[in-house]
Formats: sequence, C-alpha cells, structure tokens
Amino acid sequence: MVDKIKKGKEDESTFFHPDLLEIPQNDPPYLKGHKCKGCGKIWFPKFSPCPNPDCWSEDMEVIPLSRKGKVYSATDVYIGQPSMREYMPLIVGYVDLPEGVRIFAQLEGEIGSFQCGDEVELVTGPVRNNPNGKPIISYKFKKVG
Amino acid sequence: MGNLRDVYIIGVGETTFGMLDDDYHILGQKAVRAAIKDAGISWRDIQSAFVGNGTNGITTGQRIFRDLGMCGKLPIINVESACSSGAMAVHSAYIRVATGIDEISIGVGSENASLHRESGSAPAPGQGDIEAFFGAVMVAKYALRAHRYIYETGTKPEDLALVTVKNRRHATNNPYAWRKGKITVEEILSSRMIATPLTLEQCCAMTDGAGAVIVASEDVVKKLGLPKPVKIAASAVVSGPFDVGFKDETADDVTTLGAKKAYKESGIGPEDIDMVECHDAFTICEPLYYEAMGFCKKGEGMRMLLEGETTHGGRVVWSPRGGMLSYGHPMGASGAVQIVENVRQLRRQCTGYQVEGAKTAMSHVTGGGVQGTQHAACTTHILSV
Repeated sequence: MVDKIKKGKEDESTFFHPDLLEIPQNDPPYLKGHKCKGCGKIWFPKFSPCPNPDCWSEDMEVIPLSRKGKVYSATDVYIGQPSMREYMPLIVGYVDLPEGVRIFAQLEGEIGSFQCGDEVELVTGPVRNNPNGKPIISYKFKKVG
Repeated sequence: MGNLRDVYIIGVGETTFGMLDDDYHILGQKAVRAAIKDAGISWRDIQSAFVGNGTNGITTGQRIFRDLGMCGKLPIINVESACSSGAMAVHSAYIRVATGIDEISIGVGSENASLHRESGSAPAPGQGDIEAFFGAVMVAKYALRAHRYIYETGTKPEDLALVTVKNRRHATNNPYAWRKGKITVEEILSSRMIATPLTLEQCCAMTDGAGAVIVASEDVVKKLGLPKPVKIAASAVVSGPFDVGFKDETADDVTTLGAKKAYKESGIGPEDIDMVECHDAFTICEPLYYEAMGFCKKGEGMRMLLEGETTHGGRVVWSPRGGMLSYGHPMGASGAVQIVENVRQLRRQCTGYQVEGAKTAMSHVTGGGVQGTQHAACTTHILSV
C-alpha cells in the first residue's frame, strides 16, 4: 500500500487509498468492507485471496461499513515514526464497527478526551505527509455530536 | 511429538547491556566467546549456528562468525521474527540437536539499536503495515492495551509503575543490567509521557547487547561430566492468530498459545514454575502476561503484583534479571539473553539476585505487531534442573 502512494503525484496532496475509503460527492465518506463471496466473512482492509485458509476465494464484494462505531481503546502518542513528527502528539485508537471489524485509526479531538466506549464517526483529514512533505488525506474518527 | 532427544544447555554468554559503541557483530562475538569459554569446549565442537537479529542488516550471522574465523567450518542460519529472533535462534539450535542432526549447536541473539536507529523514534510494525501507515508504533499498541486494562479492571496508573519499581530493584546487583536500583513511583509517573498512560520509565529503553546459548545432547553432557546440567524442558514457537475482528487486548492469544504448548511439551504447569523472564517491554505487559500464561485468573494480574507474589519470597519471581525494563530491549538479543539469565539462575550463579531454590525457569518473548495479530510470533522456553 505504501508503494502505491509513492507512485502517485508526490508534489500534491495524496488520497489514501481507493480500496479503503469512498468519498461520494454528495454523501458522507465511508470505509469499504470487503465481503468474501465464498465464506461471507467481512474484511478490512482488502485482502485477496480471502485469508480464511479453508476459502481463499478471490471473489470479494465491496460493502459500505457503518460510519459510526465505538472506541475500544485510545491513547495520546508523543513519540513516533520520524516522518510523522509534525502530527505529534497523535491521538490513535481502535474503533469497533457494528460489522464486527476493528479499525486502528487516528482520532480527531482534544488530547486526553477519548474514553473506552465513546461513540465516534468517520471523517476525513490529513493523516501523514507524503515523501514530498504534502499531506495525505484519509480517514479518521471524531466524537459524535 | 516424534522421537526427540533430550537437549541440555552447556554454555551461556552475554554482554553487558546499554547504549554501546560496539556494533552488533562485535557484541555477538563477545557473547559467543563467553559461551564457548563457559561450556569448556572448543569452537571446533560447534556443528551449527543460528543467529537472531532484528534490524541490523542481512547475513548478520556470517558477519559475527567471520571475524572469529569460523565461517566455512559450519552452517550459519539467520533467524528473524522481530523481538522473538534471539529466542527463535536458540529454538532452532535446540531442534538441530533434538532431532539428532548435531551433537552441539549454538543460538545467538545480537543487536545494536543505538548505532542504527534515530534517537527519539519508536519501532513500528513492519513496513507496508496499514496500522503503521496511520502512525502505529509498538508503544502505542501497548498503551491501547494499558488504557483498556485500566478501564476494565480499575487498575491505577501508579499501580502499573510498580512493575518498573520491582524490576529495577531486582536488577540492582545484576552486573549485566543497565538501568537498575531504586526508583520511586513518583519519579516514574513524572517522567516524560510517551503514550498515555505509559511514561518513559514504564518503557524499555533502546539498548544494545548480545547473548549466546550452546545446546548439546546427553552424550556430550556425560562426556563433559556436568553434574547438574540445565535441561530444555520445552522450546515452543507459535505464530500469531490473525483476525480483523474484536480481539481482547487485555489478553494475548499468541502468548497463551505458546505457554500452553510449552506446558504440554514439558509436562510442567504454571504452578511448578519458580521464575519467569517475560516480554516486559512496557509495564502493562507483566500483569497481562501473568494472566495470559495462566499464573492467575483473568483480571487478577495486578493483584498478584500488589500482593508481592511475583518478587523474591513470593510464589513465582518474575523478571529476576530486571527484565527488559532494566536491560532495555535490543530486538534480536533479548530472547537469547533471557535464556542465558535463566540458566545462570538455575546454576545458582546470580549473586545478589538469586531466586532461592529455583528449579524451573520460563522465558517468553513475542515478536512483531502485524495488523490483525496481537503479535506475529511468540517463543517460550521452560528450563529445568
């Protein structure tokens, strides 16, 4: 996945990444779940073939995942990958979606404000910079309401 | 299991740990030479070598043994699974002797992190990992576990700090440990925040070091005339179960899998274990692994710590060498050095930090943090005398 970013237009903001996130023109953004037509399991991100070793089907149907979920856990991170320094401190967490998928994502909001069980919804925004120092836009979550 | 031979540890060696000017290959050589001297054998007796290293490059094992003049004399196989690499190298040497291919083999773990990593950066899951792309570093993933553990059990951050207090105290008289001696809860909690709730003094340091373990068959042990040889009762490697669903992050599936495999292999259960060196890269790890390895019920890990069950005089001493919270955690080295220290304990050579009467010692080291697994790998050893 990282390779695909590097192949993009590095002098502009980059969009990460079409298999993960859909931003419809007049509707809110959503994450793309990949439902295996062989065994019915929903995957995120996309895998091909299906990682179920009794299945290995390559036939996946894209389904929109719920935009709202619950924070399983969250942390404010003050140390990170050297390329992400300007995003520090970074709030990250696991968000559980009703489809049974757990998403690791950046959380938008105040430091120290996220608790287990908080209801959050999907938004988009810069998550890190591309090799030319321009922001990469992708999914994040923020508190509902 | 098929017809495996009993395997014993006849020699161990380690370097002191810390931020060192010697690169990984020099550290590795020091550990190898110390282990050969300890075993009282010649380098010629070693029939194969396995070398664990996380990040220092390719053909790291040949680089270590070249300068000892041993290249060309034995097969050298490099073993990598991030933090589990060193223990996996010992496991590989064990297999080589257990299956009867060799009489004597050596497992080495070596790493120099400080010469190769940028200070203030944190190790991340593998390149191309989706969680790493969004900023995951290992400490963040453990902080998420700590936050959830606190939420579910009512543990206080100051209780977590007691893991550092205990392990640094354990290390006080250990000449190989780096950060050791008295530290207060207040000092720990007021150190720099790394990832809430984990402060700097609750995280293993970026350090350098090496350990080497020479394993041998029963015939060799008899020839050497070792009266009380340390036996490898279990050497278990497992890979981390994968799923994108809701995992219990206050548990650790790969650790439980590895511990159960080791208990089954050895016929030794947690109630029989006298001491444990675990993957205490962060304070949260210890209570979590007490539970995951079956030393107490789910949710009771912190109680075990608070009631002193896991220090000298308690039921089972965890991290008597001081753990990673004292040694630091050179990725490739840690797993091998845990075993080195457990051997010293079982030989009663740990003056000033000896676990009295220890007859069984367990070591546990996970590796990696690929998305969808709690860890990519786990290596567990049980040693006995």
